[in-house]
This record gives sequence, structure tokens and C-alpha cells, in this order.
Amino acid sequence: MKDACDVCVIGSGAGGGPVAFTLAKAGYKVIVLEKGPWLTEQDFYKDELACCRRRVYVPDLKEEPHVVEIEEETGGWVARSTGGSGWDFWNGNCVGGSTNFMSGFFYRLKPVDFRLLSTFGPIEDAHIVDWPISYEDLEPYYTLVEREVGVSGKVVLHPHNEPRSTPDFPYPPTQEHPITEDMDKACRTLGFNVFPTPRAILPFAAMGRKGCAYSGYCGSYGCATGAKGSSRVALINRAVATGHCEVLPKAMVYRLETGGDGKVISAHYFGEQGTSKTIRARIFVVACQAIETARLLLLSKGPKHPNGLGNSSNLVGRNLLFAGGGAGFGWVSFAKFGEQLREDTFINRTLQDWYVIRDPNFGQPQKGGTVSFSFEHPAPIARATQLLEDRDKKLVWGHVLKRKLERRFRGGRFIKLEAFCDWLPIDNCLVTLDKTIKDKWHLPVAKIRVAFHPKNLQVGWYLASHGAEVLKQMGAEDVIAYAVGSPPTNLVAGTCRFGKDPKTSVLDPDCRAHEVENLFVTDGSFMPTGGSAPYTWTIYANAFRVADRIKAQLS
Amino acid sequence: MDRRQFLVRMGATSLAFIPTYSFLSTFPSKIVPFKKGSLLSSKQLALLETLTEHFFPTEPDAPGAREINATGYLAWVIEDPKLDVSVRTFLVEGFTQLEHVSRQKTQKEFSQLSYDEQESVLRILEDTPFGHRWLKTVLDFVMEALLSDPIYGGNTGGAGWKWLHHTPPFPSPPQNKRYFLL
Repeated sequence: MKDACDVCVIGSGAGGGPVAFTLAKAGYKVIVLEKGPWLTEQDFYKDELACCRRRVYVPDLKEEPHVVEIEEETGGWVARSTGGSGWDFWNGNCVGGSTNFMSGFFYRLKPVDFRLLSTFGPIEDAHIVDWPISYEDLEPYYTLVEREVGVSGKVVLHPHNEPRSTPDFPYPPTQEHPITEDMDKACRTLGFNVFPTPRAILPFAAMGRKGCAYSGYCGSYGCATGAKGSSRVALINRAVATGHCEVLPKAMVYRLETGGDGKVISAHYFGEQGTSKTIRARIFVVACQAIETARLLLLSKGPKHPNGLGNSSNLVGRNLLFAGGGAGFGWVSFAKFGEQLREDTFINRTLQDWYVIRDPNFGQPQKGGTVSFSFEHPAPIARATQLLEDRDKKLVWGHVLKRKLERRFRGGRFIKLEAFCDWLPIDNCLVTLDKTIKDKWHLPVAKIRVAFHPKNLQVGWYLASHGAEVLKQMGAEDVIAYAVGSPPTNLVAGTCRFGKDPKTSVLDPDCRAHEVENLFVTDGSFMPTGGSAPYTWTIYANAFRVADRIKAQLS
Repeated sequence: MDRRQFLVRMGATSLAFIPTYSFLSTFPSKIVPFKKGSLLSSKQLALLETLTEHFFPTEPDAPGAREINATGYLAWVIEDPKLDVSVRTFLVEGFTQLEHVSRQKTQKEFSQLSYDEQESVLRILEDTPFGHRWLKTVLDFVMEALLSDPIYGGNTGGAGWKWLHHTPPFPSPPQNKRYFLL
């Protein structure tokens, strides 16, 4: 039957790809329902209008908005639709999801991330918990991702190395820019332990994919060579090749129907022509990214699930996570660093010396995070439009604008630092269904209340200021660093945290809904805390782990 | 009629109405920016040309609005069926506002003003919330004309990239993979 299968996977990104690949390879019939179209390398060009100015890889916000609720200075909450507000929480609607458009900076979490509460104790107003699994449970799957998705890097010992079951990465680092030597030297002088940032990018052709072309346009752009380890190219294509997996693009799932026993019996979706269709399966896996996963569960009420699927705890949508932290820049001029600075290879450098901060001036030992360095994205229109207003917000045009453009483009480049710390889970960061705004299918849209814990800023600033020391030491000019309270909308997790207690978690340790034995969630929704680094690798690894549990349940 | 058919039809029916503006000659095939009855009148097009040349003047060693076909590019943006209707309305309304301020302050059309008079009028317009937002939006699109892929009609021959020593991004989109066809 074309409308029935063993496993129905909703979403084809980092959470869906490993499940589809693992189960199809094991011979189970898998159907993947993907909301977006099926684009391939032949559709991806370095086209700033496509990716970023007209945003063709995400839904039209007039048709599919979210509602964002933020706190006013006076203390009340104000909600606005993203259709015109400047916010956009969509990250890539197409086969492979947002992994098509990631930068591919890949980090494992560390053992301490799995036991934050027991290591550091509670934090006031933050719902810190230990994970129900340990780093050791996930380690084999991190290693599996290195091999199956393709992660390049080089193990360099430093005080916070996570344990590994293999001596090194399966692929050597991508080509490094000459300025990394200046950065390494600066770090040595400062006593910092810098190491090459692992990337989900193949440095050379492998696994039927081409190697990196070093155009420098990774983040926000689809990869034209297939070197970037998107779920589509690394896993979905291979799942389909088994003959056991079918991908249905432009299939927008709007409800999971449950039977009298509370189990899911079918997924209802709108096809390309807008007609409603149904897939029946033994097991359902939801992986739509944390916000849309929560929305789908809340939309899927049934006789046994009056508050939404798997939501007897009323925790679906709660404890929404992003990535906390800070950022900074330093200017390196061609006059000072030479014309070789124009080369389009990567910096790829990371510091994790403060993954746990043991600094008496900063209080008790506490969780810190990661500082990564890269060149500013080369997208030229984005860089140019930053120059259109002066410090007083007066518009700049004419000869003045042209001289600014010349200095900006012909004078040098910015090195960017990003600091990542835990985005602490709090009461006022959550997803619910909006009561008034509906999307083009007349379904309530997700309302995202966004607030952050002040500790995010403190730790973010601590990390960013250390990163700025490196930029200054290596001779960069106009160095600035700052903490960031706004959520980075491309790193989203939480909303269906896993745990052992059904009263305090949505999913069990295998990421199965506590109260729905044939429903799994495998995107970043499961994470009760986010770790202090971008977590795409962790989502991939956990989805492989859960796929093994599903395989066991099916057999 | 789908989007592709619409664009093809635009190209097929509008050639007879192309006025003498030079920017049209470098427009990508099958995307002719406007036709009779389009949103922009000849006067508005002339105003747009004056404005873009004020914003991005031609210099001996640097391309200006003419060299990057900024006017043609903006005319096409306004005609782009993918452009949000409210943005299109906003852009067109700005021409009326600019002309209104120009006549109010100088009793002349904007295109007839000296450089200094134009500057003065634009700064007056900028002081209003609408004016600031509109001028910023036009400038944004001039930057697109300067640095987007030449296949979209601006950045003629990669003039913007060459001037700013920007390595042309690769691979660049072919005709059948322009963003509105994806």
C-alpha cells in the first residue's frame, strides 16, 4: 500500500534523516513526509537573492507566519505576527531541512552537559535538569555521524576534550587560511588551547559526494558540490537508494490521529494541490524542528489526548531553547596582513578553555562554553547594506557611500567570533498555539514567547571578551565583543524535553512519548538543556540512537 | 497562469512599449521590467533614474547607477510578481511623496533640480519616518543592483564586483535557476 508503512517520519532534517536511513537500511518500509520541495545540488547556486534577500527556501511569512511575544520595558507582553515584524523562525523548508543551509560547525557535547544540575546545582528561575542518558550512551552515535555524515577535523588535546572511541576524525580538516597561523600564535602567547573546528564538510570527494569547492558561502546557502553533510545528501538520498524509503515532498502534516488506545494511527497532511491525504504506519517519528514539532503535537488532540498529543504533563512547547552567548569582530586589513588575506579558505578555529569557568573573579565554578572564529560571511549585498546608515541612523549615499564601500570591500576583512553558552530553560521561553492568527491552511500558528535568563548574558560576555583578546593579540583592529540576548533563530531546541518522570518530561529516555508508545520525537526538541555549542551533531547522533530503539521495537 | 508563464508573457508583450531608457538594453531575456499600463509611468521612471544617479553617481574610476543598470533593476523589482504587494505599493507611493516634497519646497519636479537642491529635498524627506524607510529601501535595492548576480539585470558585466575586488561567487545561477523559478 502506498499510504501505509512501518515508519512514517515527519521532517527530513537532522532529526528525520538518521531514522529514515537506519530503518530503510534495515529493510523497513519508511515514508518521509517533508513540508518543502525536493531541491538538489542542481538547484543550489551562490545566489544571494535566492537564499537571503528573497528567502525562497522558507515559507512566505504572509502565508505562514509565527507570532512572537516579547516583554515590553513596562513589564507587559506584546505579541506580533512575523509577517512584517522582522523576525523569522523558519530555517529551511525542503528535503534535508535546515541542514542544507547550516555552516556545518560541528561540536559534540561533553560529559558535563549531561549532568548540569548534579555538577553545578540549581540556578534560580532556570529549569536545569540532568539528562536521563550519559555522554557514554551517545558517544558511539557521535562516532557514527562522523563516518556516515562526514565530519572533518583533527583531534588536538586540550583541557576539555570529550572522550572518543576513535583516535581521530575520519576526514582531515578542510583547507585552512594562512591567517590561522597568526591566530594560533596569538593563542599560544595568551596561553589559550586553540584547536581546529570540526566541520560537516568533506575536504575531498568521498561517499559519492564531491569535496568542498571553497567558495566560502556555507551558512544560509545550499551546497552545490554535496560536500556539506546535509541530511538530504548524506542520509535521505541513501535511504531512498535502499528501495525501502519514499520521500513525499510538499506534504504538510497537520494532525496525527490517535485511536481508542491512545496510539497514533495515521498522519494527515496537505499535498501540493492542497488536498488532504493520510498515511498509516506502525510507528510515527516527528522531527519538524522544535517549534513546529510542538505545534503539531498541540494540534493533534484526541480522545485520550485532550491537551495535545503526549501532553498530559502540559510540558509540550515549554523549555524552548536557543543558543546563548555573544559575538564580536576584528578588522584585518590587506595592508597589514597581505593580499593572501583574500584567499577563500577557512579559519576554523575554536577555544573551549572556559567550557567550565573556574575563575574566582566570576564566582563559583560554573558552566561556560565555546568560542569559535571564522571570516565574516562573504555575501556582498549583506555587507554593503550594513553601510547605508551612519552611527546617528542618518542615511548614507552618493560619493560618501562609495568611499565606504571601497574601504569595506577593498581594505580588508572582518574576522568574526561567536560565543556559545547554555540558553537556560525558563518559564517565559515557550511555544503555544496562537488563538487568532492562522496560516494558509487555516491552522493556528505557533506563538513563541521569547525571554532569556540574565546568566546567558553574563557567560556570553565572559566568553566573547576572551575571544576578543585573541583578535587583539593577533593584530586585528577595531575589535569589539558583546553579549547577545536575542535568540539565534537558526538554533532551536527544547519544547519536548526527555526524562524518566512522565510528570516532568514529555519523552522517555528513548525519545518515545511517555504516554504514546508508537510516537517518537527525534529533532532537537528532546534536549532539556542545550549544551554550550551548536547542537546539530548532537541531534544527528541522538536520532541515530533513537533509530536503534525504534528498530528494536519494530522487531 | 503560473509564475513562469507570467514572466514569459511579460517579455513577449512588452517590447513594443519600451521607451528610450538605455538600461533596458541590458535586461535579462524574458524579464522585461515594465509594459504599458505598468505600475511606473514614464515620469516615475525618469524620477527613478534621477534618484538612483543621485544615490550612486558615476565616477571615472567607479561605476555609477548607469553602469550597474540600477534604474532598470529597480523597475524590474517593482514589477516582480514575487514582490509582496504591500512593498510594491510602498515603493510606488514613495515616488508620489518625493515629488510632493520637491514641489512643496522648490516648486519644481525633482528631476529638474540641481544636485544640491536634490540633496536638500531628499534630506527633508528622510526626516519623516515614511521617507527614511522608503529611501533606505531604495538604497537597499541599489546595493542589490550593484552586487547581485548579473543574470538579474543589475551589476552589468560584473561591474560592481570588479570595482570592489569581490570574487564572483561560484557557481552562479543559470537562467533556469533564477530564484523566482525555483
